[in-house]
Amino acid sequence: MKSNIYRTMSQAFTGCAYLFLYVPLLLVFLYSFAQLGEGLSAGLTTQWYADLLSSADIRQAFVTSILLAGLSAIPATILGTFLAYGLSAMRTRQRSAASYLIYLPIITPSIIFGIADMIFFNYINRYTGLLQAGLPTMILAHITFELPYVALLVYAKLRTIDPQLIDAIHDLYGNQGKVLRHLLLPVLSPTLLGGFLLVFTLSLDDLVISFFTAGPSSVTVPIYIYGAIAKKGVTPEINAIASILVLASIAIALAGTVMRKEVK
Amino acid sequence: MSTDSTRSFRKALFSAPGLLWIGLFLVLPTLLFLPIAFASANPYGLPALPITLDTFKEVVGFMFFGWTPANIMIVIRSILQGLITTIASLIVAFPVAYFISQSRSYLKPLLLVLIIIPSWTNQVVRAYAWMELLGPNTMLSQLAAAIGWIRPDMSLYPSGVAVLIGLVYSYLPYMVIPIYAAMEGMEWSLCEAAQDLYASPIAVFSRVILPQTMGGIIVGTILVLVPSFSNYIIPELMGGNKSLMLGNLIANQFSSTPDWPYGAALSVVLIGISFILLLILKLLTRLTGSQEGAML
Repeated sequence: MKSNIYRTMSQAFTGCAYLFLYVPLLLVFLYSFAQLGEGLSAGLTTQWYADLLSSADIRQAFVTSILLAGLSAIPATILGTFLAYGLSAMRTRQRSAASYLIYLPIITPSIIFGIADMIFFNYINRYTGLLQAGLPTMILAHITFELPYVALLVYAKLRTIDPQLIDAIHDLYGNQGKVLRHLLLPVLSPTLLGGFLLVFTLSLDDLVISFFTAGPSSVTVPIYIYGAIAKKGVTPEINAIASILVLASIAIALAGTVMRKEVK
Repeated sequence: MSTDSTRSFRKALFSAPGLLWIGLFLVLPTLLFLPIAFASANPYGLPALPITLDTFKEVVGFMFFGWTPANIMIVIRSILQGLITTIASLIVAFPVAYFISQSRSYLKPLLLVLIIIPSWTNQVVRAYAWMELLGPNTMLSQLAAAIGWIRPDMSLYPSGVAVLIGLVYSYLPYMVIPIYAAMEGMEWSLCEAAQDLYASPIAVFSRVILPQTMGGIIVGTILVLVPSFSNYIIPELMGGNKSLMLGNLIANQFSSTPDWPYGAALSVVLIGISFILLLILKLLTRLTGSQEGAML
């Protein structure tokens, strides 16, 4: 009887927590269809989405964001996978030393990460003329914060592979190439694709690291939104861009999660 | 035997490019803060000779017109921001994690993914969503005015409460997931045993449930404390001009009014405090004897 009360209370509390998580995002989405200065009851409009399409700045921001996410997530997935493969061959002590380096990009405050890279690229540019602030510098910084996530996901998956399977392939005179083709690639490919999609989303959503490593002509969608809020506050136009960004992030990351869980 | 160890050495070498990459693009750039912090600023705010300790004097509050507590207050406020966000997230996350761990097993993946989904969205959008909810003439602002919390013509944002809501909203998932994971590994039968021995609900919680979920709480704290201590986007957008945090102060030295040496010295302080907070949490992990869930 008493435990029923606790149960109801925890149910109600959890329901509120889920509302707390979703009501704000839903409102952003709903208000993106509202007319200027009116509530939703005054009728819906797709005007703000049409405005977005006709704005060259916003189209450019979406192109930059997608290029940044794609061109950083591919190398990050490759580097992270190699890193995880190497980890699985290490002794415990080496592995725990390496793990400090792997967790570093995850725990470093993004403001420190972004500014440190900004200074670093600035000095390289001053002395060599290479790496002027822009899309290339953002890609280098994004690869750095993405690759640990891939490495951790792939390493967790590698640990589920029975080492005796690898021995068996070697016993049957299969070389490393055979191990890779017939065992590792089939087992890992859902994790690789899932990891790629996850870090693609992380890159798409990043503001602070992008902000400090960006050049004047490499504005991403989050940088655009940040600037627009600072200048204009709450506007229906921002609701529309934000809705597209949120829906894209959730769809891509969800696809990645489903992908990883598929073969379990 | 020796072929085995050369083979595993060659395999371990696959880690080299990724580890070197992190070294080159994160460790080396972060180390640059140290020499820059001891430089003087030229008229453009960039580092120049001579080497000086003036930046650190400025950090602790010695300006050219005398000492001010402003910077110390900013550091204390930033640490408080981290601590309050962590505690508030913990209070919300614990019952939620408990509820998920008690629900039917086919519902668990759905309930969990619903907790994780908001963390996949952009942090500016999350802050913006709350600016819309807490702004003037919204239901929440009218409610707050009706109970006399704010004046009728005011809104709930910008304010310290708005910043706290924005931060808890951003970091809640990172607290729920590790606590849930700890609860999944718990011996629930011990609770029944304690109840059979007439332990009060409080005793069951503090002596059975809490010790077994401590590992998850500490992992959640690691994930929430340092990011919310160093977050400056949410205070900037939702806090108004009264909630300058250490992160804002650093960002200003590298954007609007550049002073790299001063900014670098402040960054050294931020890194130092983050490191101390993580060290305390690591010690707590060892003291409570709980598992380091997040470690390899």
